[in-house]
Amino acid sequence: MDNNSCQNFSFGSTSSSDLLGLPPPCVTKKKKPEKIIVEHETSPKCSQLITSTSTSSSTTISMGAFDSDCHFNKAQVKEPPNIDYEVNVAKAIMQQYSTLSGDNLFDHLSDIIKRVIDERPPNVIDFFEEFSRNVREQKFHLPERFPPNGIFDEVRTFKVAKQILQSMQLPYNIEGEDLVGAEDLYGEDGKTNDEEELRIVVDDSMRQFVTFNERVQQLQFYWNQCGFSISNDDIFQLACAMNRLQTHSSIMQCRFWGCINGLKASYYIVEATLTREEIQSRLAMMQDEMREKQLPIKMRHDRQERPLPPHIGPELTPGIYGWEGYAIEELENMKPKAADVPLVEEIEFYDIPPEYIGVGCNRYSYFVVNSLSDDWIELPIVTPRQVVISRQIKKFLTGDLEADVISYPCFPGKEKHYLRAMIGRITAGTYIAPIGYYRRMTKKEKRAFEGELDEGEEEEEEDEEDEDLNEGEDQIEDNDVMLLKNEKYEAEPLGSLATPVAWVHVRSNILNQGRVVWFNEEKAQKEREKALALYLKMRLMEEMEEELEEEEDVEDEEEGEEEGVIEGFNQPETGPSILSSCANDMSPEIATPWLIRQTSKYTNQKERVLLMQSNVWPGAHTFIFEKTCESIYLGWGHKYHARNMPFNHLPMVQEEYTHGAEDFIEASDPTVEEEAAYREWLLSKQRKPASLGEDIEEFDDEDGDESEEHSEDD
Amino acid sequence: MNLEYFTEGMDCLMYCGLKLSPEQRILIENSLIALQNDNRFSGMYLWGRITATKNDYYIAFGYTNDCLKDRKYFYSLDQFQWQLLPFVQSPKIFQATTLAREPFMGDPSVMSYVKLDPTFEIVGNHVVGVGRPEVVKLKEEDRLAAIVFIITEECAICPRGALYKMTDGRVIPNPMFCGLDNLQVDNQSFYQLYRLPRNDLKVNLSKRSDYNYPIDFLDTIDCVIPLGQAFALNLQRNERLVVIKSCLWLGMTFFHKINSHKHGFLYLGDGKKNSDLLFMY
Repeated sequence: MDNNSCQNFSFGSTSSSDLLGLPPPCVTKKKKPEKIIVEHETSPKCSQLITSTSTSSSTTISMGAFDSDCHFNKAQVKEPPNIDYEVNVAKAIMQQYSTLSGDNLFDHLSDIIKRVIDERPPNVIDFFEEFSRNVREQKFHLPERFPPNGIFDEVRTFKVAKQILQSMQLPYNIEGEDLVGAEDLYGEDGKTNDEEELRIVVDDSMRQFVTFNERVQQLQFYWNQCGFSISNDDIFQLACAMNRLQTHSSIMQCRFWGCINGLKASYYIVEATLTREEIQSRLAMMQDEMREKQLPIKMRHDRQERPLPPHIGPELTPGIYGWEGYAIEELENMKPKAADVPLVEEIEFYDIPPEYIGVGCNRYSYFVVNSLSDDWIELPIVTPRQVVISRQIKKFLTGDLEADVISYPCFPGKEKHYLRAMIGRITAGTYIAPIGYYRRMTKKEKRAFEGELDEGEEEEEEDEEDEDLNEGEDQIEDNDVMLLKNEKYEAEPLGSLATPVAWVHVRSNILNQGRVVWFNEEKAQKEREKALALYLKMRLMEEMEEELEEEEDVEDEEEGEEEGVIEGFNQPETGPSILSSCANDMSPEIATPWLIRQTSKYTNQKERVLLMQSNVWPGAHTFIFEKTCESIYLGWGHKYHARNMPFNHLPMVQEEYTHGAEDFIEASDPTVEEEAAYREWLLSKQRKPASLGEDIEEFDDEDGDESEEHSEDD
Repeated sequence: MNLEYFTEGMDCLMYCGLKLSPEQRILIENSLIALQNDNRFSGMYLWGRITATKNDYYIAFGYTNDCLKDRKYFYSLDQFQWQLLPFVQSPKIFQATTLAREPFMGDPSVMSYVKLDPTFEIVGNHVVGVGRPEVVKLKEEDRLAAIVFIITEECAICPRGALYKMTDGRVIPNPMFCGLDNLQVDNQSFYQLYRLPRNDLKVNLSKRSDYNYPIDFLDTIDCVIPLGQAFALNLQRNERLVVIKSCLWLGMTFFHKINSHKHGFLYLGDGKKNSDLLFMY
């Protein structure tokens, strides 16, 4: 019988070479099993135990066990050196259930052996512990026979997948039952088509001003060549997302600006120009708002007279609890001995106004998104103050547009403002193109761009006049222009482009002031003062209803002031103009602001792409291949610093109330004797008036209190 | 970046800036296979690129027995000829490397002079003497070796369980490793630093309740100072891919695919430490 079981073992385990060594000893001890007596008691238990073990291990072993069950009755005799008995005892030891996990070693070992034989992992012996741990771990997994729908945890990817599908606006209901819905959907489709066509019609006049390369997938080819290697799936999603944005009626053109990493999520950024109508409608709103903001505070309409704080009554004087006995009227008439409570003083403070939408720093709008399936969010316009402060700080973006920017100096705005300021600065600093790639607009185009309808013949004359008139202004307004692609640009060999000399900046430089066009703050200040003076006088006059004589005086004064303004005209701040050469770029932090790389050094001479990397803004790249020149930014949005950023120091604590040495006079504490003497003196002082005249009872309020207190102390 | 899944790994480092152009990729991949063959390495990895003014340095490493102790680093300027990086021991050179202001030049033989910070000593009773700042002569090759070592030490990452310490003390990649699962991926304590552990073994083990001697001997990244700020963990591509970026060495990116043994790190940057980190949160 034992022989049988052994044979079963060896047949059952198909591929174990080790087991082949086992049968011979079994064969030699053929006759012994028949004499077993004690074995009956153990073996049936064993067999039960074995059959109840886990599915993976029980197959081969249980066969043997069943055999022993069948031959159970035959075995009778017991003889001391009994292999079967010993084996069963050993088995029983191994099969002892753990009181902790309910597992036993026998099952585990047989599981391991089965796994090793089934899977044949290499070098198991080296990883035996790990392997055994794995096997045990998997034991706790749900067995396969468990209904798979019984417990089904939502897969992590499901939510995202649903979002992506939704964002693609698939026509879900087309095969649905309600035909009405389907029709509606078609109807809508028709409408959107119409809209698209309409949009194109509108665009026709603006078609020549489309300078952006909108085709992401086309650019992907070059990006891949350069080594950005964004996967094709992502690019397709990006193209879909941009398409969604582009079909919006208020957007004229858009292009992929790049990607800024955030801590929790990164931002995909798209640069867009709005349609003329959109700009004009926003401009009107913005102009009103700005005018209001630039008014002196006293002239603002929304200004409310702040009521003075209600009476500074006895509650502010110390010892409120001692004052219950007095009538309120009395209390109100009392004057506290302390200094008056300081009132809030309005300080006039004017920011340098931001540039209007469609010009300067706000020429382009930026749309961002955290994941490509979300809806695009437009970033707010950038103000000069934000630009200036963003230069003094260096923060990680978090990926949440509404997050606070905690910094010193305090950044005026949320993360979206900071992001917008960074985008503006990066764009201004790193957008370059070969000389002659872009050109300025001609006067005619400029006017067409600004939306004035030209009438054929008069143009040229007007042009000349304009030139005459504008010559003075051109010097200042020079920078704030949109460039057009030069149709006549000839592709140059990359060899001649591989130097910064051949490249020019194509976006307007942002001045230290934070604007592209310099704003004369002093002049504005004077104008404000003048306006305020005028305003006050007007009000005075309204009140007094006096005659017009004074007005003339006012006018005279104004003229005088204007002259003063012209005299005190301070020099406008200048920076490098648009289309200035990259060879002149300077950075105190790094000596070589541009790195020049070619995508292939050794082969493929004809299809090389030249890549300009900015060192000042690590992550900003511009590539050129024949007539395709594009810039992209992939990075953290930090400017280069050779070692660390020179942050502003925090000011001293409570700097606004400085203390001199004489404010704090040190004195040694009075000794007990001195205090006692002082108390004596006080008492004697109080006794004197009391003894002088007891009829004097009308003390001052406070004195009375004091005396009471003191008497209590005593 | 393991050479076995080089291209795929490259793709997984999403949007981390300029990676390798097709020519560079082909050159590097094949020359590294040749290098592995020549040196009989059992594992070969591309470490990354350090941007220099003239030529970029490409760094690779391989190991034979122990993937932590006997890593050998190579650098290359032309992407196909690889030279052994020297082993730097002098602390002066490390000090100078961290203080060097100038970017890398792209010429390993060029010498530069770095002024170390002045030293302060307490001479006597409350008297502090200021030492003259020492000027160290720094060969760019040494600087490169030092910076590679520092960056690897501080922010090279592997997922928990990817490295296995054998009974003889060798550390090798775990062939049983089949990736972190859904519940583990976004937890920073499941990622370890790819370096010889600096913490005590007991400290590392006691951090977990399910500790495992051959796996948890490495330091985890959630204990890197500044706590919780040194790394940024993101889920990408339908949340099936983890990307961890180091905030201390901007440019170090790590990826791991959920439920697969694929993981790797790559440094693409200029070798500048972000010393402003503490002010940037």
